[in-house]
Amino acid sequence: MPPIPSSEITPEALFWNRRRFMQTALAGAALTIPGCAATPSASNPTPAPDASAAPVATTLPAGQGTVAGTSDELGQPLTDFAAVTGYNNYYEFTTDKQAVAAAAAGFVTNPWTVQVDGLVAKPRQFALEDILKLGNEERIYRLRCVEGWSMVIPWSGFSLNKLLALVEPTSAAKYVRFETLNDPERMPGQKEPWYTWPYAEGLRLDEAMHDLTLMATGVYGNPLPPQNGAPLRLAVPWKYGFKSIKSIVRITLTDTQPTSLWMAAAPDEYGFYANVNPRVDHPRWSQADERRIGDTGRRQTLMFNGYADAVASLYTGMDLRKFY
Amino acid sequence: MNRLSIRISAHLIGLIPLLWYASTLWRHGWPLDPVASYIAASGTAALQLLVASLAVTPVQRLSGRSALGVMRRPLGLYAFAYTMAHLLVYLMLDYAWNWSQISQNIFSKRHLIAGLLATLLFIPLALTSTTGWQKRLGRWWKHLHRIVYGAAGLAVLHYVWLVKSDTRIPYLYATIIGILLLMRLLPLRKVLHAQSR
Repeated sequence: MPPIPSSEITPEALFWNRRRFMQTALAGAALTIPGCAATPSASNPTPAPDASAAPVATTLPAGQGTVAGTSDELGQPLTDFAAVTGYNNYYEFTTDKQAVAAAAAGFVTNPWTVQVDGLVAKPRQFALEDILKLGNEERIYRLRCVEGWSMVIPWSGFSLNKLLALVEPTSAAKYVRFETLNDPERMPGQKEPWYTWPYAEGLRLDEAMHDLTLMATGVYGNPLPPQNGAPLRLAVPWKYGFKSIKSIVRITLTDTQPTSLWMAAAPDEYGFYANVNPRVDHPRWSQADERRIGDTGRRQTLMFNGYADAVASLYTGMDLRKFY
Repeated sequence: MNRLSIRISAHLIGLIPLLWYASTLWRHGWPLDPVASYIAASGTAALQLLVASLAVTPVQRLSGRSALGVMRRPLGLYAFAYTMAHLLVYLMLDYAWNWSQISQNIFSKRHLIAGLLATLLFIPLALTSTTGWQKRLGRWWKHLHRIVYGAAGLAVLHYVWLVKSDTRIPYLYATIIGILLLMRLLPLRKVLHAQSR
């Protein structure tokens, strides 16, 4: 596995920035770091003293916790809590994006275990409580859906590499396969015969080990609600949203490239990599631009969703039209 | 039913999608992605009203109520109005009149090309829908207005090519429009008359 470039490691000064300190002191917020900020002072400026001293989160909507950041490292503001938790794809519950939250309400995620197996020295079944101990950092990531819309989301969780380190992948491991819970009684969408359930996704091992690859256990300062993939999901910000598999129960290290649900459903439309790329269109529509939820008009889609500095080197020499 | 109540019914049918959308807003609140919601609702409404207008003649023939024919024009114009709303939302709200993005987008997606062609075909039909144009064009008016089947085919194609995987609903529309077209082609009246004799 490649070493993590030093630019990817959030400087400790940023980690302990004044604002986070104040919010922690005032509101008991969880430990937070801004996602992938390479130049902290420029991309995530410390607010003026009067701004940070302003009352913290006195009137939050139900289910919303406090978050330290208000924008991503490009200065783009967070998408509203209501949209982040009320508008997404989760075909296990319904194909209507705005109906997912209601359809998933009451989905029980306790108890929950995650089997981590395959080409590892120490296969293990993790109880959710043990996974939650691996960290709870705030990461503000852009999410670009393959359908052409996007959001800016304050996830919390830990880098997946922390979990993988515990099971010690062997030298034969090349890929990581992820699987969602398979339970049509609790996830009625799985009764639809159109797809090969359960949902599965995959990453190359170096992608999975990348610091940006987040195992998200929370959003907007609270544990994930069911509609967002409770109790734990991936957030791979440089790939289309469908790669960020939800409600994970199994992680398998393997030497063969996993076939995802979408690759099986429409191999000409959805490839293994699914990196955000404005120059490679979906067969049915352009990927050149996107609508940020809440905006009128569209913004240009950025290569690797704006994370090119951090991840482009993973794909050096690859034809991204071929490996879409 | 007299002609007036038939006309009023046509307007009520034409307004159903709008009223339905208003009730959806009432029940579920404002959409979180309003642009996507307006686009989907106006497109569906356009297709539904198009089907309704295409159904007038077959229903008229089957029921023997020739008075129903007055519904054809208002239903067709409602279909056109929803189509224009659909296009306007796309241009104004989705793309904020950014013509370079719009042209780049339209000509890279086959479903948008089909939708654009369907819309363009609707325009002469809407413009010549008045009684004056009907008289001026004489028998050519009927020939011209058969274009509506081409436009309907393109509209359905626009829908089929757009959806992600579950094409049941677009194909349902395609089937209905196909049946309605067949009913126009087959000399139904003659068949029915032959049976009743």
